[in-house]
Amino acid sequence: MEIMENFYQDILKNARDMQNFWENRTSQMLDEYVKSQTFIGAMTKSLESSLDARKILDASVSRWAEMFNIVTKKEFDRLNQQTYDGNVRLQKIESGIQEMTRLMERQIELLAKIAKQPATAPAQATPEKTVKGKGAQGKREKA
Amino acid sequence: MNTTIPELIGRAHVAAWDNIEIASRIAARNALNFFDARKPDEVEKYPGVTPATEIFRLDGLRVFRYEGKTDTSGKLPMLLVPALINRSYIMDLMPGSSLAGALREAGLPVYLLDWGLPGPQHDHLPFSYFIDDVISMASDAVVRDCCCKKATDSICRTSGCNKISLLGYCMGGTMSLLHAALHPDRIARLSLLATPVNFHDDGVLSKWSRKDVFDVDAICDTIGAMDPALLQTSFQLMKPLSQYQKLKGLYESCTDPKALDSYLHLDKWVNDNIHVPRETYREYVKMTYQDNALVNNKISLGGRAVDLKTFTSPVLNIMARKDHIVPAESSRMLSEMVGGEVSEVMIDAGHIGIAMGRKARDMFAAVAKFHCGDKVNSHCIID
Repeated sequence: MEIMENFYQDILKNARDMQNFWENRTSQMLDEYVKSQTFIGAMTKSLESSLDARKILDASVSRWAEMFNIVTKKEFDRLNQQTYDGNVRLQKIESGIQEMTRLMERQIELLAKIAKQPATAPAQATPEKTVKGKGAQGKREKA
Repeated sequence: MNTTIPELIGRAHVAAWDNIEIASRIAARNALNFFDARKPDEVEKYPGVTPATEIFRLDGLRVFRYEGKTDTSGKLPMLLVPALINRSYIMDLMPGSSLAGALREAGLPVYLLDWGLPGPQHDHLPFSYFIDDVISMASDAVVRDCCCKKATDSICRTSGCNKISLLGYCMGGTMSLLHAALHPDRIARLSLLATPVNFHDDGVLSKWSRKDVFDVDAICDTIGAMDPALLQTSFQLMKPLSQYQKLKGLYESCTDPKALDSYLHLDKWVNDNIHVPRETYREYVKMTYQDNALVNNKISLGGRAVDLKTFTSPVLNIMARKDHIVPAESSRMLSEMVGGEVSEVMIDAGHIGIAMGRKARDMFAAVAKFHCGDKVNSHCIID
């Protein structure tokens, strides 16, 4: 019984090995084939043919739409594109304003910090005009 | 020009049969959307797992601030920029393997830029609008939210309240890099995850999107915005057996609840794709995959020439060894292109595994370390 089981296991293993071998071989062959000029040529021809078919269809549908004054999707698309461009412009304006606001806020913050700092007396520039002990703040009050 | 009507009908007939699968998928999805359409004023709930608060909104575009218990004072705010072709919640997909969650836990003030669901109103917008205007708007919102409400914060005093860090994933990385080159004075640190820089590599996408085989003008002029079904089909075709292997993996790991949960989360994200606006797609493909403008130093955004050398701040470049969408060689060139010091980290993962999953967890620590101002060893390989 054990011999038979081993025998079947061997068969299964060999079958799997063979399957893997042929899979890899086929895969390699197909990979090479898609790189070949024959494949590229066939694909190009197929693509060109489908584009021709699409052009014929497009031309006839456009003519019918024109004849019966039907608004086509292409015209809606153009409208959408203009709206989108407008949105982008508005977005850029908004970003610009936000940046300006941010810079002004920073400036106000810095000015507030400077105003809070204890002022130091200027070094012997105009000693006669400085109020002793009060520094620049005192000078401003005097003025 | 000399094509006759019977020839055109013949080609149309061939096209109809060749593309019947894609057409049916698009039709089925559109029909489902029609019956399941959201109201115009309904705002989509944030789909990630880390608690997040919306701090800015313009149309569908939103910026989220991640909430956490760790103190963030004294740290530069960090904005995550996902790819424009996928949903942004890959950065915060599952508990335990969320990049945003890990960075927030590391004490960084983390923000996410969610592009939303682009619609026809975005089709005329150039690529430069998303790189310059949108990321600038999001950065302003982040600065306003993070720095200005804490006027006593040391960051405000030292940086003049206007610097942030950026982390871009895939196409979002390329966009972050270009934004950093446009505004080098505003970006303090830049991390790039699986970011393509050299677009003329050995990768499949590079081969498929060459000028002579891929007429991007014809596509954009005919179908308008790039349909996610087309993009998704292309990504699936890059590895034709990947769907089968994914299902086989699911069958083999179906008794493991963690693996099953991971599969379901990832599968939801992989199939949740968005439209790419027409002009943006056209400009992106021409500038990158066709002209390789980053490597050739011929980048022009909205008429402004961009020089990557002007960005001199530190950069962390994280690459995935098994990435089939952005090969590691495509990202490695970055160190020669920017003016600042570049640290490189290579992970043994694929394109999606770099942003989430078991192998990415060690990388999260490296990113957090880098954005906290520490130096990360270059060429450090995490296995």
